[in-house]
Amino acid sequence: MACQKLDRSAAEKLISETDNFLFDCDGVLWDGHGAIPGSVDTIAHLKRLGKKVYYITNNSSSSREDYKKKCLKYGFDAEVGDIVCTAYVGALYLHNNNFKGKVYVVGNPAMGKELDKFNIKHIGIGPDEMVNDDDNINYSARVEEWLKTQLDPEVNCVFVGFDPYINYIKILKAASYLQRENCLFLGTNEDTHLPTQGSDIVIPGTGTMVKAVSLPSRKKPLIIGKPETTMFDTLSLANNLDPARSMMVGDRMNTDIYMAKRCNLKSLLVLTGVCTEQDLPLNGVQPKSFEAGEELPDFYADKLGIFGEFIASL
Amino acid sequence: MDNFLFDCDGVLWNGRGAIPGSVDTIAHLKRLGKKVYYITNNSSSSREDYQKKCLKYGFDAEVVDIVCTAYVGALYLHNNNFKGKVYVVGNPAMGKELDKFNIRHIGIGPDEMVNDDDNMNNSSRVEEWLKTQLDPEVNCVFVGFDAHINYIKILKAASYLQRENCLFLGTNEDGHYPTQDSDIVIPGTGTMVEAVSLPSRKKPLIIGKPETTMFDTLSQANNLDPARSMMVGDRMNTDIYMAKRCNLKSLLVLTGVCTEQDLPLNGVQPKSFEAGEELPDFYADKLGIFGEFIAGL
Repeated sequence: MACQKLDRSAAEKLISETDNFLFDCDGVLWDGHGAIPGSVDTIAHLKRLGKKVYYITNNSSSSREDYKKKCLKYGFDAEVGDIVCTAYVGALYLHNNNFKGKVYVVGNPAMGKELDKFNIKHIGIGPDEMVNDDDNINYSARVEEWLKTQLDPEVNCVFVGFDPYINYIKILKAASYLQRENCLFLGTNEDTHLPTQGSDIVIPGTGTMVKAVSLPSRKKPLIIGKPETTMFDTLSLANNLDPARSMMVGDRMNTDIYMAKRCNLKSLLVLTGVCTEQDLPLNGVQPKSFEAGEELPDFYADKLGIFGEFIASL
Repeated sequence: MDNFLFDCDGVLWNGRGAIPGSVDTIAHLKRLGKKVYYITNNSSSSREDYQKKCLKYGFDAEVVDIVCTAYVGALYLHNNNFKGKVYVVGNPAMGKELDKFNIRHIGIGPDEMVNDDDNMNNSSRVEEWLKTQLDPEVNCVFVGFDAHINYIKILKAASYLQRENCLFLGTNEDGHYPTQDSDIVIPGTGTMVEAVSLPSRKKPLIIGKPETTMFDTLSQANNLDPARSMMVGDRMNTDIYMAKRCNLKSLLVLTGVCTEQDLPLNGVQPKSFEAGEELPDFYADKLGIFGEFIAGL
């Protein structure tokens, strides 16, 4: 039976049946206000009980080293080998597929750092020139200028991640490179927005950049992050994980829980991030909210700390 | 047929100028007493701009013969008694058309770039973005072609759209504009519309083809009978699709986006991007062919 509220007996059963715990970070371990109460203790208990703990995030703006620093800052003990993030897994994917050539990155410096580690050549990170800000330039004249855009003949891959400098010229270049036969198209993730509880500001997510490049190019990207299975597959291969003895903990049904289901992992949804009780089919009624989906977690809890409380005395 | 509606880019003119035969065809139709209208998804021009463009290429046009998405979007708001302020992710032509209806708007032009400091990590950037000031009067977001599209504009538009009763209009969803013989892709307005729609999790009302709003507007203003009206276009998924929805006759010309490879000739449905279920009644290599056939009438 899916979507059960986590109780003490279920928690104890999970401890006996699970070796590996994979955690999404934003909205599970920490949020904009800092470490979420109870999360640090829960991770500590799991390690005390001999469990393996991994961190698995769609955030493409950090390298694994950046993420390790972030974990330590919030009080979570992490080694670089325990972390998978999309900038790293994207670069690893290219490396594992013997990529030769050059990548046009619509992204951020962390993606550059991870590509550098594998000696993969790349261009495009950072701002690109703004369109001439002259109202007297009419549309036709602008198009004439754009048609003179210089492309790098070596580019045979476009890699899109979170890019705060996204603009028309970058989209134009990416879409143009993608017309080349055999040009790869990778996207780190398709998250629509970052949760911003208590604010009327929407923080657009990487899905914005990926869609903006995909539409004019008329190509579909290979997505690295959740809910695709690439991140779990990478972690699993490197650490010999048995899916039957592994559990994913996340705050988003359409990414964390969906990936868990595809990889045959157990799953726990916590309500301290994107999803709330309104997104769950309680009382047998399927909600129609944006975050609600068919991918139901095995268990849910108000916060990760509840799990920690149940296992504290084991 | 009494009325002929023409898409412009790829039918009457292209990047190199008027397409041979198009000027003559329009002239013949007018000589034969037919009504000629111009109907374009291009949101970067006002009706006046478009009239000048038609005249420049040799096509006789009055402002009222033209419907373009900047104008029809502003008209839509006017007809629905819009009160409030519009956040425009668009261009000066959209501003001009809104001004004509005395509809207040903000947002046209560049917006500040993200701090260009690599040392600023993402968390600090998010903290700055969360302090973005929104205009409390905005209750409509209108998206069209915007050469200055950037993260801050997308953030603002998506934020305004969370307000209850905030309208969401988009001029059109064309993904790219045809650039024959070039390896450069020119991203279309669909890029801006999707970039705002996705993070806001809202769907826009689309003004342009293949939605019927533009024909409905023209038809109402000119009392057009669909049964005696024909649409001529170069794109099946916009021009021809709208024609079908409005019960117009349709002619596809192959001087723009669509080519013979997009047509189901020999009974085989092509799998190209531009091919679709919306088939034209007729097709011709170019509009000038039609002109040649009617020259002696």
